[in-house]
Amino acid sequence: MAPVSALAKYKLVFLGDQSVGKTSIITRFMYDKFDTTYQATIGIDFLSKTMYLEDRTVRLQLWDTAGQERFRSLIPSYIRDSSVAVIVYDVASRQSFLNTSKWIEEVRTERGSDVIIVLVGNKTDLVDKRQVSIEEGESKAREMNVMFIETSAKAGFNIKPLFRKIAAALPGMETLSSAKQEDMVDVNLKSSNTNASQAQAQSGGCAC
Amino acid sequence: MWSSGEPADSYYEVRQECTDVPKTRFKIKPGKTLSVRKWQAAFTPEGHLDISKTLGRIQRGGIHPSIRGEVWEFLLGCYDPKSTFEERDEIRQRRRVEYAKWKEECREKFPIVGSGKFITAPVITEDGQPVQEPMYLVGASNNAAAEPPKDMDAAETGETGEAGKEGEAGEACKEGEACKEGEAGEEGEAGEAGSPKVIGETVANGETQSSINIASWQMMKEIISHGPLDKKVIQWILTLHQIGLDVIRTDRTLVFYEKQENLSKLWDILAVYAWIDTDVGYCQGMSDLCSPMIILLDDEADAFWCFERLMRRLRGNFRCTESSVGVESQLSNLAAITQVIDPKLHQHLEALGGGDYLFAFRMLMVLFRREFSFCDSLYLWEMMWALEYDPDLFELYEEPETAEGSKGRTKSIRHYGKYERENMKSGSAAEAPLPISVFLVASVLKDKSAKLLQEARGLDDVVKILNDITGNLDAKKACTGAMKLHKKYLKKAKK
Repeated sequence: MAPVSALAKYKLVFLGDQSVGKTSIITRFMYDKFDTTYQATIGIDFLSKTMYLEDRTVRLQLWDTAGQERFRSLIPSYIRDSSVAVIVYDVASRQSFLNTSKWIEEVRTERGSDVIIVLVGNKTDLVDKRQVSIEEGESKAREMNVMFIETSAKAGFNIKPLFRKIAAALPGMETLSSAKQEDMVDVNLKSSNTNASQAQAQSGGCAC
Repeated sequence: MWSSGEPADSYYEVRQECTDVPKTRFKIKPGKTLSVRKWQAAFTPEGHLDISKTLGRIQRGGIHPSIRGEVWEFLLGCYDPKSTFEERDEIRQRRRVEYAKWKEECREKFPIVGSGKFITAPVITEDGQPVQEPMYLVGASNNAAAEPPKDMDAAETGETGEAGKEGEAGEACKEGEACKEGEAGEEGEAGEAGSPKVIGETVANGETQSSINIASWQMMKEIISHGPLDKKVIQWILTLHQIGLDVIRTDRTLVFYEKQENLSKLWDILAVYAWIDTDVGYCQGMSDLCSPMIILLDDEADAFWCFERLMRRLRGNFRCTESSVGVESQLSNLAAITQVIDPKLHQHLEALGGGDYLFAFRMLMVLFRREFSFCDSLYLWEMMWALEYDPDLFELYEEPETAEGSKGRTKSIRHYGKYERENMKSGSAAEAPLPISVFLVASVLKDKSAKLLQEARGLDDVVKILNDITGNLDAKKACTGAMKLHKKYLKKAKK
């Protein structure tokens, strides 16, 4: 057994508008459950989970944030030392999609290109209410040079792939041959900016 | 059976399927809890209240749930204990009229207010133009039963134009798909929201029963046709869907909020509050503070005023600027207190990068609502307010100028809460005293001090250790702890 201190720790910060599903994505990943009695996140919350990859184990620190615009002054200090920014929108809310530009800019201002950014279109289960197509999401991600995936925390769709994708893109992952294939959408072995393998196993491949 | 007290859970019934809620410790204890009889006995025949006869009870054992609402009105300063029944009736009527007037102002600006429905998506842009997307209204339709459900395709594209036909936007709604599928249950009540077993593909955003849309631009165009909206109105309308998004996530484990009308009450009150307090507007967390008022006070206007009084104490926390959130000033007070009473812990937290104490943000913003069960947080709140009670509160709120001078002169010390008395003794009441809530957080930190010092290697550990207190705190002990710390702090700070 590797000593605890050898465990690589990575900080992920979840950003995005109010009620797009940041907490739900985290809870689905952590406990594999979805609960419709969630409460709004007040301020900042935190959870951590150890993820076992093929040849190494990483500790993911998940920082959840309040989505309301007026709490923005709290966010920079959390972005500052994060390896990953997960920027979530609701595919049934165009406004939340438009606002992701602001969130991405905020992260870039704070971290430049020294951070992995993933754009996540959540709530794909709301088929009839969709306002943002997967193509629009992909194209924005390409344009902003960030990773992309669509998820449904409620249906449990693409949540593991999201985190696998993040894990594979983490710095220090270059030597990792491949993670388990069955629940992977896409394994980017180099960095978030280089050409990806575009394996679109499920809808919502990588657009980077 | 009486020695251990009667549980109070039946007053705030939790939905059967919600098993993952913190346990309630509060019990109605004879001789400790303020009972109906004891409360009524504290009034003279004219209605003067000798509050000193009740404060001790409340500080010791809370308030019997059946009289909570009316006692809270006094604790929060809605009424002067020296007033008569008649005078209070008059004030109550006056306030109800005032609330109705504000609500009507809001309804004129945005006709969904007071309609029994509310919005969860923006209807205008930041420059006051109507949003092109369809608007989803949450709410049971009054005339839904009479009308056949609309064809889903049409409902989705939003090309309804119903708003015009019905004359009023609010009435143009029909039952949404969820109802059509027979999942919503009784008359389109919010039956399935929050219930895991009915997570259906058709339930909008996982929250709602009748999700209806109308062409929002049509309604907004109509509103804008009277001239461009002024900045205040734009700002206000922009907060309305934000309120809606939180209303559908507030205390949904309670049976009470299965009723659509209670959800829209919560939305209406927060919308009206945002209209009259433009500095604060709506800020996440306020729905958690408002929700109990609606449960405890039947009349919407009375609930509004209780909430308004609570906000007088707390609104500073919710005032946000580009660079800060109001509560940060209380967090620095917390830091100062911890530095005095537990310097080692303060040092440790600072070393971990937690010198801003942001990890305590939520406890102060929603007054421990997330750390306690619903019932226990009410118990905690009333103990806090009784301890902090100041008989001049009413005057301070009604006539701030004249009240300042009379402070402490006319009343016997017995009429003040225990915490307030300590402040007066030490003379610190002269400057703005710290709220007891800050000492509550400080006492929780002190309780966890050993664990934090030993186990916290990063801020993440700090948050985790503090998250673990959820459901494990004892409200009474927390208050006692806060009082002790407060005393100690006053002593040490003097030196």
